[in-house]
Amino acid sequence: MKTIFKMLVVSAILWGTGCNDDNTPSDEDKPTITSVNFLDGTSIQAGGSLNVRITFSDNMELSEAFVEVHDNFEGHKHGKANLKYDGSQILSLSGTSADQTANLLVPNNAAAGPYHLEISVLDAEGNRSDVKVLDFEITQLGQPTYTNLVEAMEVKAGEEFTITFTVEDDVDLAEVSYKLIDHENESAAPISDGDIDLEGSSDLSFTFDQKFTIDNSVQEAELIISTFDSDGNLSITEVEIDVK
Amino acid sequence: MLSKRLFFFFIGALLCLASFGQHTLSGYVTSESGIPLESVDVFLHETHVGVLTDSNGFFNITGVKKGHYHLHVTYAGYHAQQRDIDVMSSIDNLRFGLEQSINELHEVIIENSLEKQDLKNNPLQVIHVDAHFLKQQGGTSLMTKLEKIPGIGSLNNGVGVSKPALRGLNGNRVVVTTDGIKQEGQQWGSDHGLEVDPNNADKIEIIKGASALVYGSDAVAGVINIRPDLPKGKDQFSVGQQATCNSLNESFGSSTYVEGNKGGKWFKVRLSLLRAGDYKVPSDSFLFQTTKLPIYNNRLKNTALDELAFNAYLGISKNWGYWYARASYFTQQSGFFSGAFGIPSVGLLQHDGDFTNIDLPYQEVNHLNLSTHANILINSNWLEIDAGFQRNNRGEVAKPHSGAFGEEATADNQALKLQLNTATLNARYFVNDSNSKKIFGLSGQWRNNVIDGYEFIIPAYNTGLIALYGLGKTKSKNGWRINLGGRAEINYVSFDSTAMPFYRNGTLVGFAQRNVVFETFQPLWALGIGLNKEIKKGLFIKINSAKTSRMIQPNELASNGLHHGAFRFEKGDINLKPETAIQNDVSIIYERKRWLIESSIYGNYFFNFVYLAPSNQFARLEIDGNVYPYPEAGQLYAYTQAPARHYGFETSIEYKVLSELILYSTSEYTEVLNLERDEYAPFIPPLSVKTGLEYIFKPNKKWLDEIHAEVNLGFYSQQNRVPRNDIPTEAYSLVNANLALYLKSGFDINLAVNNVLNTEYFSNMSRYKIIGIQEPGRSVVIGVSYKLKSTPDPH
Repeated sequence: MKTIFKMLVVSAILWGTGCNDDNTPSDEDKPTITSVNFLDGTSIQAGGSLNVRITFSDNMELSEAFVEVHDNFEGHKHGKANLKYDGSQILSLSGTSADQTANLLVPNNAAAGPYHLEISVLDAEGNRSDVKVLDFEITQLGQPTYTNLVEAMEVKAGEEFTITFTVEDDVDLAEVSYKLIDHENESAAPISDGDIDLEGSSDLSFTFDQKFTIDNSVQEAELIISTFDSDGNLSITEVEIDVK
Repeated sequence: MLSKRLFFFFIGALLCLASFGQHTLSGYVTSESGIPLESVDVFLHETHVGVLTDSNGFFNITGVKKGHYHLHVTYAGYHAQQRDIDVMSSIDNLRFGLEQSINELHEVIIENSLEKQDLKNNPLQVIHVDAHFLKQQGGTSLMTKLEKIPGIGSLNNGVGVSKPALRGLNGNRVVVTTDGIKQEGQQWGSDHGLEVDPNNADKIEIIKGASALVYGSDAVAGVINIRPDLPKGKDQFSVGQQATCNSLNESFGSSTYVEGNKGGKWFKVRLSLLRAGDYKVPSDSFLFQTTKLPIYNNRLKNTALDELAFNAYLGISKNWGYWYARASYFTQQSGFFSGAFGIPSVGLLQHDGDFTNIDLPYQEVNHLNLSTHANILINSNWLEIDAGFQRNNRGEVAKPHSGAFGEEATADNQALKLQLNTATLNARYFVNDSNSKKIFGLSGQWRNNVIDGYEFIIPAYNTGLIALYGLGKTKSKNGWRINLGGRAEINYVSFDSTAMPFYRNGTLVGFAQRNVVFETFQPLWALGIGLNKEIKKGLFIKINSAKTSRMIQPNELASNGLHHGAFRFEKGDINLKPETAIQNDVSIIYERKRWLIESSIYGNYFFNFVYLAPSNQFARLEIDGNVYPYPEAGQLYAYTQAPARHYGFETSIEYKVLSELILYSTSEYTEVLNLERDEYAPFIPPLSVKTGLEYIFKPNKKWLDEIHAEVNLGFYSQQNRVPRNDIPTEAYSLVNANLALYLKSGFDINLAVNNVLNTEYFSNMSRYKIIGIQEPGRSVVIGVSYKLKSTPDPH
């Protein structure tokens, strides 16, 4: 009986110490990314470098920032010559505000296409900022190019219309895919979509000719066309469709 | 073969030691008012022999040897009774007067507990559920079916994968046993559930609180003992079949068993299959960081799963005790949600035309269990031995989600492959004399983990454990039952260093050392004292206090990789010390007339609680002194140790409004706080109050035996007590309902509706919360089971 009593007393004391709110609540304020010197939607030629000047701040002490680039290709394609670029850098920070430049070298063999630049920062306590996501594009001289494409058009609801264009490449076209979506409801299932597989033969040029119909529930639609070449480069273009 | 021969030799030798006298136990079972009860199950625990009472309430068990026994008397609608009996010669005047029970849950007797104590005499809170309860609940996994019980929860990763959580603690702090052997299967990992066939879990016992003395140092939060119903008693043969459908994932499950018993030799075989499609959520989009992503057709792509489980038992029950062997195999293939492996993108989420296929990335888990169990009479005392071997395989098959693995994966896409082999030996010797009972135990375990695959999370390792414990029970003059116990163990952990290639943009950067060489021998001890007393009729108090030390597991020492199930990069620390705690529990049970009230409060102080804390660094690998950021991994989570307190309560109030109608209300609260950083632990359930009505009616119909209907309203408060960077959850209410019909023809029909109101909510116990995926909406579960039993032989 005495043993249990002692144990209870000891734990009650330990408890007491635990309950004391003498230690001030630790810092839970997130650090912030105050400014980024990078234009959303910028294009960078493969082989060039990505220099991003960023300012960070925290109420107590900054620790590290992370700058990461990854592709936004919406699909997996292995290229023969080029690879989807995947770059990152950790920046060491200190003080309550810091100004640093991330330098990421985009290799010559980086596949052309859309990329995300993501920035986040941690303070000394481990509080994490929200992730800042910026879009940019890597370009290659040999990536697919679109010709004879009408970028905006007007159609009548329920009536069939045709979209046609030509896509060309210096080596070989691999795949053309399209997705017709409701501009107001982009997360809904597409109105129409499809893939045209051009692998197996050497296609330097392809003429797209597809018929679509949009009903009157949609006011504004968008046709997104993505073309991969066999080097792994991706070119994306869009057609804005106004439904009357 | 040799070991088998040795085993039989061993049993033979023990049989010779046992005394030769044969005695008879007989008596009558009546209701409290003296009305004879027919077909009451009278079961001798030690020899696994049971009989049924005749129309006069009479029972007779013959061929009983001199020794100490537990006699269990169970009858539907009445409180089960357990009596300790010292058999010196035949006893013919046993009398049992059974009291009617308020709720079915409280009828059942404990025969799972390794300590062999009934609910009220155990200083800890023990909950017992049976197959009927599980069939009534509409959850998608074994753990989610138990969530109605306060203090029990599950940590979920979608709907097919759930891990047990007791009082908010999970992983290495909860012990799960099947047939008395601790289940070992990378239980720290969050991407896979328990490798147990839920259909084979006929009896589940949940011990809440410090259970380290008997179950080992991992049993910090408690123990979940899972056992099947094995054939017992008279000669019989039965076949059972059940089928379950769940609208949530359009699953179909089927389970069939055959069992038989003749002359004390018995067997049971069960085969279960489950096929489930992608599961449905109320929302058609989710918000990952700042990007809104679609959920096509309101179904989470690639969350389908396939499961197969096989269990076989073979045993003998004799007057010297019993022996049985078990072989079981569980295998599951389940897809990983396409939006939860690497960074989600619209392209990956698009519907592929099939809701039932399992595409990359997916995982394969299988678990083989071979074990033997014996209970042997030695000079009036009993020796229980459980010995087993387990092989657990877990593999992830996925294309590399980032360039860190180069072209490594193209061959077989085997990202992760873990094989854990475990050998276990548990022996318990029960010594009884007139005023005290003692248990002496020995536990041994050897684990060997092998790794493969192009990703790394934990190293290959070996661990060993040898433990000795003693537990004594006595009664003080003023009526307190006192349990006192101690345990000493030696733990061994070793692993070699591991180097893995690291690529960037198609080029091999070098080999990164993911963990260092490590070896340790760690002695640990635990001490516990428990008190309980029936203060006045129907009012019980239980007090338990223990000093425990938990051995640090290899994942806590040496993880160093991206844990997909947890969406974070986890890093271990070889300098972590065993986790020492003082654990206290106080419970009160009051059961009188129409009331049943149970309440527990607990307070645990951890001197050095181990948890994954968000660090102030981003995930990285070091190669030749250079630091390389680890792609798509984000913040580094490091295993850290700090003083912490863990406290909370559970209450349960039941009131029998009418003889068929029970009104109940349960509530629970728990909290884990790191006292050094004033930071809460992750995945802690919020304060919740669940209120329900249960209707149990036995109509006087030719075809219908019983109707059970229940409606449960759960209120879950907001959870703001989350660690830094985690997302608090809003308050929500859930309504669940179920109906069960038990037909006289042997058919049981179950219908359950989960989340009747189709509430959209986030759960703090879900891993998917981080990626913005809500919990499932309304679902309907239908189950039909059928049991065909040969008429018991009247002799």
